Amino acid sequence: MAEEKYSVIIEDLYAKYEKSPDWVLKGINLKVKYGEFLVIVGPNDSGKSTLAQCLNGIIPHALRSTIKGNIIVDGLNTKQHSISELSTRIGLTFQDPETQFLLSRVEDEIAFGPFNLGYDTKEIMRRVNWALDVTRLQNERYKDPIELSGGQKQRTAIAATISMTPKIIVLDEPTSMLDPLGKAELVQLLIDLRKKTNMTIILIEHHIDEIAELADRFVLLKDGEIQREGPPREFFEATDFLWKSFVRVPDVIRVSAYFKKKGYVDKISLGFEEAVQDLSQAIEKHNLKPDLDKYEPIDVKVKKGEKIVEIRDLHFTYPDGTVALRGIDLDVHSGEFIAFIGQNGSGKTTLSKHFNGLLKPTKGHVIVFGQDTRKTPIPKLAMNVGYVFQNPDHQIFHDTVEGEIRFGLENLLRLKLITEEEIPKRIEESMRVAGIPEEYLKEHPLLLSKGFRQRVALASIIAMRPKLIIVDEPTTGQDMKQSIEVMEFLKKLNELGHTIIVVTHEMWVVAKWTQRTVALSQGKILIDGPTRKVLSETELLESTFVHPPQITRLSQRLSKYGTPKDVLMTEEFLPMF
Amino acid sequence: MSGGEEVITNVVEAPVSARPTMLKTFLSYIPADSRFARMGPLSKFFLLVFYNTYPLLIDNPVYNLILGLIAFILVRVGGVHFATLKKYYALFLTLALFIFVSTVFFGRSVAGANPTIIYTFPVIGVHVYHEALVFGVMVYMRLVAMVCGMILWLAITSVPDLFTALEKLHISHHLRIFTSMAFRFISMVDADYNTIREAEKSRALDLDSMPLYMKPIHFGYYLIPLVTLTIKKALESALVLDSRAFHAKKFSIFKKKGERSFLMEYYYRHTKWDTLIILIMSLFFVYLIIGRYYFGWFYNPFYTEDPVKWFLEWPQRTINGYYTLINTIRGILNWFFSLLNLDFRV
Repeated sequence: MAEEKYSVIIEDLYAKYEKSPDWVLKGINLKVKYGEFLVIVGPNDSGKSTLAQCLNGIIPHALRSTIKGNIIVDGLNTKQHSISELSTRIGLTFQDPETQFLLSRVEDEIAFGPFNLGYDTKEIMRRVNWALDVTRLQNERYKDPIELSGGQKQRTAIAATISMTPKIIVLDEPTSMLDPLGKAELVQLLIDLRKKTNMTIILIEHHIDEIAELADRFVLLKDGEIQREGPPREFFEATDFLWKSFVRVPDVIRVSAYFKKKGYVDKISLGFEEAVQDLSQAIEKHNLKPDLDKYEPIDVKVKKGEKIVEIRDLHFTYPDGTVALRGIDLDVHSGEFIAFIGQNGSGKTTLSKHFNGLLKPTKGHVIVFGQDTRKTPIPKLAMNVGYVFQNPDHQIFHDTVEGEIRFGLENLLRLKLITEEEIPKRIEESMRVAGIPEEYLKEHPLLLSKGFRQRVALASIIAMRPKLIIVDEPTTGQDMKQSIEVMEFLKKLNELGHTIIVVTHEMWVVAKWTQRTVALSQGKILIDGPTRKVLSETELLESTFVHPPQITRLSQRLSKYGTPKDVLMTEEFLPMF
Repeated sequence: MSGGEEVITNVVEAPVSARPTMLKTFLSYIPADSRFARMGPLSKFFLLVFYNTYPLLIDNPVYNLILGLIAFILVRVGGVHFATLKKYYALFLTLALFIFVSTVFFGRSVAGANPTIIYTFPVIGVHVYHEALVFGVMVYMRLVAMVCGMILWLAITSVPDLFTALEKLHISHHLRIFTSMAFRFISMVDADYNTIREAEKSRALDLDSMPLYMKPIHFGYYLIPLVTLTIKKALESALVLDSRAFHAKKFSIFKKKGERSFLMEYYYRHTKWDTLIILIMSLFFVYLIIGRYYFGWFYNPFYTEDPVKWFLEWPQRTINGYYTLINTIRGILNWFFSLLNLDFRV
């Protein structure tokens, strides 16, 4: 049969959840060859995760849902075979590695699948050793998965899946919760998986900078339909279309697509090194010279005012003895838009939690708006410093959006810090600033999309009118459209006079929206200064696994041809050629 | 051709350096080469069961206190630092407060027919009975011994130990996994709770600075997001269970009987020392039963108005105990002979 070469065949697939009024997937047709590496991109809520759950039978067997059409996985129709049976053919890993851990040791976690399949101990151990080898986790085998780093956690979840030796593995946004080091580890794992096994890999991902050159084919899924598919070079030809579909096309691809359009190169470069080589050749061949007059750095303008935060010799040690901060000196002025960057464990979050007194210094002092955080109660500090957590679900508890925003205000009222008359005015104002439509006022916040839930969380903080707003990982788990929306919203707040600090791993976000960047490493400030200057320190940042934007590195590598070393955006780079 | 079995070649064993020097237990870390770490999972499990049963057979609070102290000393010997136990001190205090209040205010029912009033609260007229207080102390020391036993078990047992012990005891596969997952969820819920607490503090809700009576009213603000998040995570974990063939039945193709063995041969260890420990614990259990029911050894002497007299009567009670025990054994033997239709009696 000709179809035997396909590991996955999807025929006219429609899928929807019990309570969703419309089909989430609308007539998907897709064939995936054995050993193929397929990447699925697309905005949030486009049906990517639903498709992944259809592939391993969670839909329709475990979730209340309806499907039409057929999915044949390694010869088995998913409608007719149970998830357990399919699990020997197809493995699925989810976004959040922590919820995937069922046991308390890495090796137990990996052994769990083969154990369920009824293998004896000898066979289980053979598979455990193999999976540990492929995922390079031999040194972690006896550890508790919860104690591992983000990248190691995700690798453990993948090891637990491949130990069942499926022929197909589906990875649902595996890097969405990882820091740059974790992402790099995962990319390495994908390379290893391709080298050491012949598994079909289906990867759902937003961050494709390092993936583009590894994949065999890309698929764009939007509004439940396949909008575009093809081999990477063909797929990325339509850069503008992808950009409009909110796919964040890697900088090097955008630049090489531009060069191709101009006729300087024959093909689009997918990887960084490939791009450096192709573009160097093109520049030499066509004797191109960057027109530096057209180089206009797009810098973030802020109205910097008086000093509002003074941190001196700040040390912090957690109760378990972990030393998180080792002598931080930092001043923050009103009106600034600052990014805290660095690896997980570098001290970013610990530092930011000192601003509103959630953590108190072990040594040194933190003076915020003239108040020593050690001596000032948190509610009083909260009047001036708002802290928005990464996951809005950590704070949402009310059954209406209005109630949620009102909550902080009522706490201030109880403490007699505001009057009752002020509350409705502040709710209205914060909803307007946060861009929450009035008809959502009586909606249940948990029924809103994640983007709107985050806005509700932000609105509930803004309503308290803090002068300084700290936002932890505002773009984590968000697609490009949502990321732009939330950052534009923060920009608007900054323009209204709020000082903004974002804690983030996303360098393109740092480059585009922040005026000042503080890079931390091992509890100390590695470098602090204007974003353009900090992100240009490639060597220094890469020593702590923080990679400046691709375009910055590309421009630096091409600097022998005259390109500036401090380019932050492709919009700055392209007009020079 | 794919990620099937044939790709599993060139297996690399874990490097020796990966071997942990410390064993992570429920409570803390203990040296991996210590006697407690090497103790068999089954003996650890029986330690939990017996240590929580012994106090139920002992009424004398002094003996229970000794039992508790022994557990505490063993925890220290096991390598757990007392600083780790700090959080349990509050538990002992809370227990004491709770039991004191219940025996003072609701102690009439346990004080007997003719209780001795030792104090009467002015205005409210509530009596404090001697018998109720003695009962309260007895219950408290019983609980202290049990909690100490539990702490000892938590201090020396890892999740795989519990998992293996349950498997050895033929507890169902599903129950074993759920037990393990429950322990996994404790740390996850704890982490979420701390984040929620910080998130609500950032919105000026600080329970720590509130008076005691306000805390329960506002605790719901922590609870709702916590429950929501936990349910979400539990649902995702359920999907992971499905994806890892947790419900596989007929696909147990490699083991003919379909019985699953979770690394039993790998984890399970049982030495002669384990046998000895279980034997000693079992014998001590039998000793307690005989001592309590035939000799009256472990009753609470503080119930009596004259504890000295109670102690002086000890030899007489012992003789009576032996007499009753011998009579019981005689009765059992005679009943057994009659079952066999033997015309013989002792």
